Amino acid sequence: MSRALNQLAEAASFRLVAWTSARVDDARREWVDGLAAELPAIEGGWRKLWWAIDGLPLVWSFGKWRERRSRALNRRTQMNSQLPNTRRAMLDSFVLNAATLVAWWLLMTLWIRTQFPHGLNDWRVGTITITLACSLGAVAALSIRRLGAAYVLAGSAAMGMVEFSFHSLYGNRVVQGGPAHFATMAAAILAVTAAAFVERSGKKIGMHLVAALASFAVAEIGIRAVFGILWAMTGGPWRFRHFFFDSQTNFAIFGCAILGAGIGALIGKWGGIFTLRWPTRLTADRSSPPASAERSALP
Amino acid sequence: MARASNISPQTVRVLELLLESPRSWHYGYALSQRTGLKSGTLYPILVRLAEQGWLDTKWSEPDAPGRPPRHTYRLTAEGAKSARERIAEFGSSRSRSRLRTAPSER
Repeated sequence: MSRALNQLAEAASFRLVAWTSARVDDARREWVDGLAAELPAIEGGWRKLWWAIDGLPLVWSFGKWRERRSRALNRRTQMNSQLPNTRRAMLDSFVLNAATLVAWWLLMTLWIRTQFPHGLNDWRVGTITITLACSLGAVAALSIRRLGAAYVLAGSAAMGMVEFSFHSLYGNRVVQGGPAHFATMAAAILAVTAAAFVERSGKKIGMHLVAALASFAVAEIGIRAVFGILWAMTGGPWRFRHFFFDSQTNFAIFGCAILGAGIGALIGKWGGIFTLRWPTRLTADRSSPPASAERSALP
Repeated sequence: MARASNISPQTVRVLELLLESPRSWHYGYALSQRTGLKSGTLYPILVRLAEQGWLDTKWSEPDAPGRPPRHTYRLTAEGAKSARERIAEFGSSRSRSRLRTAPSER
């Protein structure tokens, strides 16, 4: 028994040293090989095992991870040096997307005010008009490459379609109130964004479903967290509480996530066909010399 | 980049042992046994000494058939000289620190 354990310890010691050797930097491997070469000269399996165990910190001292960490630090340093430009680009993108949304909202409000001076009294007309306006807005945003605005408008269109279906099926009193609208819109916009990203990344179809389910989960948790806390803080009774505990609202949120994911996948795959190609830019690209050539021609 | 100072007590222990017979080759396990240092502590010290040019390394011929060659170490001439200086420095700095701490120990 003792001899078997001794042999087991000896075998473990060789395995352990081989494991250590495989994890050290190539430049330092000779030293771990030197440590391994001592094993046959050590008497007894247990002593060999302790020698091997004591050598484990060499993975920390000479490990390949140090080289990897050094490379990662270099990459991060390079990225940080570009950070001001990245931040500026993100800020520009945010401002342009927000401006697109505001411009579209103003344009649509103006159009509705002129076409329907007495307002959209019937909910069917109102919902269909808003859905159409959001769909057109998404296409317009895609044409000028404002993806953020396009995702928000496409999500709003998805929400409009789902709400129209639910109101038609269950009546005008379901899926109503601030929390329900907040959750359906959040689920739809999140799903559009996530699915478009998944589609552009070339992921498989199952990932679109994951994107939809994740958006549904985030919206459901969000609505309960935000409005639940609000309800608890105000002490209730709160007039909207029944709207986010009923099953219609939950189904509507789910429907928005699924429909949003579908629309997002379409945008990710074919959204580019709406993008406008400016003729001036094409002409400039073909006819004018590169900027560097222009600079070098300057005195 | 290698550190310039070899003044840790563990390093001094290794250097003292290597200085006992500076021209002969030493095995890692024997060094570990005699200094009481574990392999995970001993080998980084040896690597550092070698990178500073204080230590020569060699793969020795196997002492018995079927055994692998062993890695052996000895001080270089420069290493032996520097090691003596550092050990002397270490001894004097230890005695100085003992003198400094003596009043507070009373």
